Amino acid sequence: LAVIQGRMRVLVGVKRVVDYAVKVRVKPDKTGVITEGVQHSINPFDEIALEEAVKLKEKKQATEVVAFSMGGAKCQEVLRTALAKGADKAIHVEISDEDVSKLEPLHVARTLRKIIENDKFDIVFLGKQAIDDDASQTGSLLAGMLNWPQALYASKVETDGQSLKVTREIDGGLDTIKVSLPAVLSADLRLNEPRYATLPNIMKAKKKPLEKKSAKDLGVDLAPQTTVLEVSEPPVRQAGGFVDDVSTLITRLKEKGFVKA
Amino acid sequence: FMSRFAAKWILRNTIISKESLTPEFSLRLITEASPLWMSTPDACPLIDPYWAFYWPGGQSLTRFLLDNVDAVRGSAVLDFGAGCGSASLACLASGSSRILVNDIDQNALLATRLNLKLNKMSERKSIQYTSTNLLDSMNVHDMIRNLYKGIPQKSRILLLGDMFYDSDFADTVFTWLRRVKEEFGVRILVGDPDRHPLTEKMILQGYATPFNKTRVASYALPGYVTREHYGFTSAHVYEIDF
Repeated sequence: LAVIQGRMRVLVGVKRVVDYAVKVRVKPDKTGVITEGVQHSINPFDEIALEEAVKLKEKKQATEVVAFSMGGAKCQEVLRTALAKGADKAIHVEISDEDVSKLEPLHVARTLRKIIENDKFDIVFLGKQAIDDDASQTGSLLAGMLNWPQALYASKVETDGQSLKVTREIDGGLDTIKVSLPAVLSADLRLNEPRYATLPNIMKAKKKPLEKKSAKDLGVDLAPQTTVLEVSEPPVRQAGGFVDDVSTLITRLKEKGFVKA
Repeated sequence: FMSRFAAKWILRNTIISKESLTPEFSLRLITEASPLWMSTPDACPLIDPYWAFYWPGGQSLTRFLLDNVDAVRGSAVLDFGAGCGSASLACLASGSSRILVNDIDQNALLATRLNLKLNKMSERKSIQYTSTNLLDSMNVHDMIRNLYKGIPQKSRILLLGDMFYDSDFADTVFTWLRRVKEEFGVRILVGDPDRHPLTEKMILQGYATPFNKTRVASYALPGYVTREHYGFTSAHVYEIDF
């Protein structure tokens, strides 16, 4: 594709999630997992989406990268990280800490849609899924609401300013599609390797604009569509046993009824 | 004691670098080669060391001052938000008569002194240092009055190297700049890589003091500078008037 200097604006969704390295534990009342006092960070797939957006800006194909996050007050940390990694501005849609656990992809998609209605964006870039709920819904919901094409699970993105050529990782291998702008994209693991936030950029990030909006002002309905009935730990794995040879294995399998006697 | 500790910290934790638009000067900086490059601000005992970096807007301004000796010779200069002091070094090299180095961070003044020494320019008597917040006073500060006294208007210069990173701060600065210009007729030169407070229409319309900017120079930033300051590939120098 011929590369022309573009004027695209990219909106990147970044979610604050429990850090991937944490050993997650279920709350005693089984309504969810313990998040109090637990290390949180930016959703890894969102970081990858942000990195791709910043790369587009560095290649002069995008003019501005805006980071977006919806959640409690602590979302600001994730947004400052995004600003330190190259986003120009941030938008925080703040909701009360109690409402955070009830937030669903549908609500986020509705909010993103409102943001986009008021402010023109050419690409919305999300991580393919959040590592806390693994929902993987926001991108598709948003594309449907906006009637925009979607290119999900991207492992490579190219643009000529008018359209995107996206290589996607699917079960059968790689799928390359062309989508017109504006479009919704989601980032998969192999798209890129995110940069570190270096000291001068962390310092400058403190001065970049971070705008606060409320779901109420945007007119977004946050009524939950789902109720969590129970969250429980996966069943403890039963201990296995060792056998000496294949014939003993077959005998054992027949005994346990896994193989027809 | 604090300043001896700070001086020692600067000498130990910064690297002498010439990798910039102005390789004529060696500067003590935190660069890619420094272990602090990847650290978070809380690892630095000296708070927010903006003076330990050579920002793109500072680089373009310093380059301009080195390349335009005629404009600088015999001048009285206020280096507002001096940071690492590169612009003052350039003015000295290009023949300024008087320089007032101003930064609200005492460590920046210290870094400037160290950089002057590093470039064998510390014996000049024409430099004064102040950490006074010049924006605070209701009237134009006496120090500014004394700086420009006896110097013809066309030789009065006010420098701002990469100071427009925050639109609220920019608003305050423009109001102050207009007052200074009205009283002293200074030439205001700004180095900037086109950060949002100087370029975005919505923000420009929101300032209490409208201004005009005329581009007087543009420089492509070397690859490593772009790598350090994400996305900025060029930096410019503007003249501001009202």
